Amino acid sequence: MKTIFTLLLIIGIWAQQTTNQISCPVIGIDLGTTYSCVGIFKKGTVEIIPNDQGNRITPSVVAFTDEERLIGESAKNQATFNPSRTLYDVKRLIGRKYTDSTVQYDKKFMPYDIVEKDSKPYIMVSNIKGVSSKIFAPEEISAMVLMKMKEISETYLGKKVENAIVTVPAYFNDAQRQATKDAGTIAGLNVLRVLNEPTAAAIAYGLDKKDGEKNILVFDLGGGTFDVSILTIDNGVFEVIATSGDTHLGGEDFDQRVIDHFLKVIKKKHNKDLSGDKRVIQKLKKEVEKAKRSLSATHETKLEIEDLVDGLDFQENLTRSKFEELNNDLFKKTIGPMQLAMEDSKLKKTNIDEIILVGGSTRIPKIRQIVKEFFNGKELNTGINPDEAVCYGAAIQGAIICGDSNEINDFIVIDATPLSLGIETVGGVLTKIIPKGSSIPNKKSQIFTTYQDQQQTVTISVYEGERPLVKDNHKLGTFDLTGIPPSPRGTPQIEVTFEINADGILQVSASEKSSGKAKTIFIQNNSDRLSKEEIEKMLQDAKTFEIQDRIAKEIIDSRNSLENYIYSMINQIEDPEKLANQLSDNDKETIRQALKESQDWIQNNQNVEKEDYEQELKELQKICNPIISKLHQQENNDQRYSQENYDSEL
Amino acid sequence: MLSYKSLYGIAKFNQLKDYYAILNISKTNDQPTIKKAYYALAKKFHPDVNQGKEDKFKEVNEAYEVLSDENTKKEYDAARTPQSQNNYSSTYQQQQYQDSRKYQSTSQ
Repeated sequence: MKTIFTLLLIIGIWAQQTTNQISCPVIGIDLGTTYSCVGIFKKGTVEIIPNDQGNRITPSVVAFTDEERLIGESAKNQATFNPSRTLYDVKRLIGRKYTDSTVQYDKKFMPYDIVEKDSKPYIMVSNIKGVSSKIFAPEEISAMVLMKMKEISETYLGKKVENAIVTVPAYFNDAQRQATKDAGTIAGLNVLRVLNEPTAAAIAYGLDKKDGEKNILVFDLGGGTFDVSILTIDNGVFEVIATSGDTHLGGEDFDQRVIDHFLKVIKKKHNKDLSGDKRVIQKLKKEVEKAKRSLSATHETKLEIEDLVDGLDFQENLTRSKFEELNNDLFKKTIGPMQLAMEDSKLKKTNIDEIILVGGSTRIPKIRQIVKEFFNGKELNTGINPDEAVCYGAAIQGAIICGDSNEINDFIVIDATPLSLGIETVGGVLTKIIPKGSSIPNKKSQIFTTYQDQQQTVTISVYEGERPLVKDNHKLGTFDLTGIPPSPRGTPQIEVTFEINADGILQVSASEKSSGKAKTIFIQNNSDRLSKEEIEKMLQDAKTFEIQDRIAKEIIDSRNSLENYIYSMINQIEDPEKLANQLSDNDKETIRQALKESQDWIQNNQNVEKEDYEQELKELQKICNPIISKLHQQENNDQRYSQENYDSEL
Repeated sequence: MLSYKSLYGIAKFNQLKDYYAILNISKTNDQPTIKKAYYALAKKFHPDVNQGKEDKFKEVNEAYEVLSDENTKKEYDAARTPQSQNNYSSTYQQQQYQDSRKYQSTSQ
């Protein structure tokens, strides 16, 4: 069996915490399933940073075309033409095992290939420039999105950005948090904190609330994940008291239901089974997403796709009630976690002062109705922007950590663990060491002992989850503590310590005390996590891609300037209002000929370097520019002449 | 198959620690007071605002977790009354024995 833990034997000494002061700026990134957002706290307020298209949220989509890699809007826009090389919803795969039922479910619908490697889901992309095909860990794709967000902030701030807060669903488990942090490392970011999304939203809401203690519930339903968190906020302290959720429920699932519905409709009407056609599904997906959005405001909407497949024009109506019917069971799945969070918080429904809606899917009227009914008709707070609240809060948390501003000096966030953590004991029972809802950072120890006489080894298996038996919970890893002095059962004292850092990431150590010598074993890595070497390699790959991207962009830029020159010349020499009437036929023909040659050259040289385009442009200019400048000179002379005439008349 | 190596669990809180002192308050049943004290210390020791004090904050968390839960608090208070200390002495060994019996009866 492969060693799945890095074991470090340290005798007697605990590692000292480092106390480096973090320097600003620290950006806040909401790394969403479908969209991401980046913000920064500046001069007492949060600025959500727009991307190069001027949009405040950027699609979490990465695409590979024959020429280049695209991230964000440009990647999303070409999804229908290039379905198998357009990667989205990667957040649904990150930190999961390949055999995970949600991964297997998604594999059925994703237009890209999901393959198994080291029992984790990887994404296979073929026809990548230079390497033919490549498999990517979900962490690498998320890293590309993070890199894009980093770049957006660097352009805006005009300086390098290294430190970031990255948000995750509160209900993400240890492996998913670790993987998200690793994605940050691959993107070249120093992720100072993995912050829970609903907590971030609560910070955004509570920033200016100074009027005593309040209990708030954050209902966060996004593109792919659902969280409920209950917090107490009191004069700058944000304490998470309960958390629940579903890491596989969101807008993407609602879209999928509608797509399935229309595939059935098409089958019935046209006797065509298009369920395996990736391009069709992408086209439908785009239109369905649009329809879903408009149904939040209207009761009926029309979906139209010209030439969906083989000349078939798709045209269908969708009513709000049909949309609700298709998703009824999914919508209702939000009730369970609300119930659970309420129970854990030990609060009554009437103790909740404010219900805050976050995430794009909370715009759906039926969802709002479900929440409102659950709280016996209590009005919902829709005062914060559901798309930006998480990002906003992450930016504030960034400023808190780097100590940026006096206004937020007095703020602290005490987050809580979403799942109980413990170890396996006799009979396959999960003994909880840190129960869910515990404040983080946290440290807990328990003393255990042996079950058999002369037992020299104990196996410590670490699990997370709420079920009483370990087999029903999620295993995080396992290690052996060996060298226990032989003694009767029940005599050795084995102290197991769980420590959770502020990111919610766990470290486990165990020591045997009765022998007088303490042996401590730290878990630093678990089986779900990329190894240090893998991360290092991905970091290198990411840099290579960055260089390739830059080169690809330079090539496109140089081709564009050549093309632009050609078109502006054509425009000038053929337009009578410009130069058409001033040029001699001879000169005009020379230019025409040269332009034509350049156009043909572009046509015939698709895969050339930036220098080739520049060379071609230079040569073309060598022919055209003298003629044009001769003309300008003449013009100037004429002007000077008329100017002189004018002067002399005075 | 490997020989059976599972463990017995013991201990819930450390009765030797004075959690009230850690929270800077005297013994009380007033939950708002306990919470207020916790928030004040959190503002002081949370690693976001005071990076060298993470261990101190963990200790504060431990104290608050025991005292903010009415049931655990009762058990803790009982374990720390002079009478119970006389009965079981306050040594670690004794506490262990006590709790291990409690654990065995529920887990077996």
